[in-house]
Amino acid sequence: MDYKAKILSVDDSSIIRKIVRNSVEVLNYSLLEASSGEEALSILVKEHASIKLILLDWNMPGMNGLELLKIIKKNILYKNIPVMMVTTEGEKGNIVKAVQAGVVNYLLKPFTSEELTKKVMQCIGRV
Amino acid sequence: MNNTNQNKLRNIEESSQEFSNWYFSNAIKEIIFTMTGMEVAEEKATEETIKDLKEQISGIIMLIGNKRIMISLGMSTYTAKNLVASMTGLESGSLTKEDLVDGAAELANIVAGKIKAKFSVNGERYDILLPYTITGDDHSIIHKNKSAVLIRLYHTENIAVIAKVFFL
Repeated sequence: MDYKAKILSVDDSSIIRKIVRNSVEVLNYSLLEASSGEEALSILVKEHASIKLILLDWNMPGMNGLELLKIIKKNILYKNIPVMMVTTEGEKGNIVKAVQAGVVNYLLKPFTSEELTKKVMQCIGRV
Repeated sequence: MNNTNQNKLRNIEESSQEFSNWYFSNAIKEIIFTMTGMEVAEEKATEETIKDLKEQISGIIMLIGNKRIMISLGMSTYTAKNLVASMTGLESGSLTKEDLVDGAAELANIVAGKIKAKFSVNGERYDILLPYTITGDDHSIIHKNKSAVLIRLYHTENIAVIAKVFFL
């Protein structure tokens, strides 16, 4: 059985999830991938206890990232999992909305793998 | 030409100038550099000067706000493989068609995000629609009678990306 701590990447772009995977594996975490908010909720039901961080895109088909964030923060089982937005959404008003809804960090695309690794480490308390 | 059409033309010209001054000169170069490490050269282009370049994959996105803007990033399969391989660190030979299509769409999405953020500083609010991709040998993008108001070529030895902006 795999007891490695996990990070959940929620992004409709498979390329972004692959980029995230590279950075996460360097940090010795395993990556769970969801291409939509709905898929992320299914994963959370089974895996929430082992997930240390959720990386969340904003603009996705179906439920958007902010909607998913609000659901996560209302759920007693998931609300303590830190969430970081990884998104192209750079409008100040929307960043404020995400912070008010409970994100602990925010990374704008485009990003380098070094920037991603550093922010992930900040979120999981390794720096 | 009546006054209304003259005003429309003036608006488009001003918007084109705005794009050429900042958005296309900085945004796309910066995005490609950050995501791939490649420093691209930029050239002004026309449909005539790019007619021999293959556009096999186009990542397309629309911004809706004060203006309706469509942006396309067209490239050959060869360019898409080099870009996506550099973005992901994967061997270009291992990439699937889905990877290339997704990579082109995501690049367009990131470009739109940059432009939206830049507009918002000036108090202009835009929504970004989800990106999509058109594939096929030597395809062209025509939106009714609107032709691209800006065309730029971004290139290195290994890639050539044709960026077009349409005001719809």
